[in-house]
Amino acid sequence: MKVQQKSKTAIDAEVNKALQSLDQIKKVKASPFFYTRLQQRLDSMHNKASASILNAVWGKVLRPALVPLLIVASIGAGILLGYKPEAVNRTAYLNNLIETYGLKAPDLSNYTLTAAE
Amino acid sequence: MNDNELIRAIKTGNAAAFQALVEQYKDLVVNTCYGFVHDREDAEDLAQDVFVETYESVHAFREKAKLSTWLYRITVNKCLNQIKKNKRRRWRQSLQTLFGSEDDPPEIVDASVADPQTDLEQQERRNVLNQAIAALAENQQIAFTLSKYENLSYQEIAEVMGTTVSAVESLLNRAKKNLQKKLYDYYRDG
Repeated sequence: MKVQQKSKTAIDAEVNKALQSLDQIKKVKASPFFYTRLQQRLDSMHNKASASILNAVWGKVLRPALVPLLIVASIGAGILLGYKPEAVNRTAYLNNLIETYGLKAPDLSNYTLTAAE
Repeated sequence: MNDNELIRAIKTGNAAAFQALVEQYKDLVVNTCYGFVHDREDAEDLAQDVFVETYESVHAFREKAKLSTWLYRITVNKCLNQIKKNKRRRWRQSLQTLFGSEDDPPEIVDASVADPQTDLEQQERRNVLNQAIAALAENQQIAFTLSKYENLSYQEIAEVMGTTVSAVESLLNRAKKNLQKKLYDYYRDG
């Protein structure tokens, strides 16, 4: 019983010592480079945010719009290639050539079928 | 510049004001984090997280509130989240060890390396005590840490925890009793 009592006293003493060690806690201070590190972290976060905005714009707006844009561009290119203004104005072009170089168009009236023939 | 002026300036994007806030409160935040995680490096990393969140949520800060109380709240939340993460990680590691897969080295939790005190016996006591504090119920742990590491008054702790002074008193009494019991069990069995 005496041994147990002594043991309890020893345990109590250890418990008290452990609790008293709290009173000797020294306050921990931030490192001198704390703000520099923080600033670097905030900067890299901003860069990532900007990159993710660009990615979002590319992924959600530009990329989906690219396919219809290409289709429209292809159709437009096709129309432009098929459109030949010289063919439409061929007569005017020939007349212009004739006038410029003093050419005369052959009289084709003899070869033209009339209603009587 | 007082706290409200600082906050107003930060809200307008004044970087110098944010720097002034960090310089003014960094020791408070780091020391509080240390009270929860008992490791200098982890405490610094957590404190960085606290200020990042402060920067991002400064627009939501109501100027009627006390800046230090707001910072303590963010700090406590960050620390508790980190402690939960560490517990989950340790649990996963113990599972990996159990099934023979040890891809990640086990996390080293050694407060003695980071602690400024050199007396080994004292270190051992502090480690035992830290483990006992970590095993307290969450509210008791918060109240006890803010009281012992930051020397906050009951009123200040109540403001940080959003509770009454009498509730804080009760939490601290229970925390002390539980600590004594845990320490007694440890020294009796050890």
